[in-house]
Amino acid sequence: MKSDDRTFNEIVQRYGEPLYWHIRRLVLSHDDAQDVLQETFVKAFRHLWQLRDPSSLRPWLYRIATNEVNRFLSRRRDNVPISEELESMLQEGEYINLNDIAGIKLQKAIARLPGQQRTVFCLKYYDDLDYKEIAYITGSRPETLKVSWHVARKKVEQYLNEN
Amino acid sequence: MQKNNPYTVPEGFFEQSYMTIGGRVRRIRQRRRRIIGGVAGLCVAIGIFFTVSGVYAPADQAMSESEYSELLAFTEYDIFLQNLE
Repeated sequence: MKSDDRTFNEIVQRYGEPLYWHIRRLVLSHDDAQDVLQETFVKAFRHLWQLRDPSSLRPWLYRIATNEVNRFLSRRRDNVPISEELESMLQEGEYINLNDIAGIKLQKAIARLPGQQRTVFCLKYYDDLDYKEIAYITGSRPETLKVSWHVARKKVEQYLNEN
Repeated sequence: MQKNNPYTVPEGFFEQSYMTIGGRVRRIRQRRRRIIGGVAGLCVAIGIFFTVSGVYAPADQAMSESEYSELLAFTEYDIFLQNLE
């Protein structure tokens, strides 16, 4: 695929926002999400010529973003669990709507999920991606993802019912 | 678009972010162009150097001893004719 200025600007304009939200839901902090988003697009720009089929651009970008998120989370020195990260974000109240009680409760439930389940849950619930796309993004088999999705959904429902 | 998403962003964040990304991409493109230009320039310089210094002489351009003698003889004859005139 061509990587001229105009094409790339269109890609950034079109996918910048959904990719930001995908990253944000996984890293939580706005500043971190901003950094990861930039790295995602820089990587995409460098490797755009390798993308043969333009119709697979969206999952391809999500795949880069997810890999960048995983890289970012594994590199983080403090190794604070994401659920604790959310708690400290709620205390600071930075770039989070504290009045959205239901939204915060759901985020708390999602933050308790293990890595893979959290990614699958967010991609399916928020981004409405199908199993085939999620399989491409995460590098897992669709059957495994179906199980992850069902387990994650059950855990989230259970948390929401109990709290 | 967002389902129960309590997260927010600063006002004008996306426009700002797209500009930052655009700037980074432009810098990468410029660096890439400079590298390609440098490599091409180096190749041309190496080519010119070998051509001028005579280190590289293709076989069809090299002259055999008999051809050289013929050329020498012709040149000498040419000078002789010029002297006559």
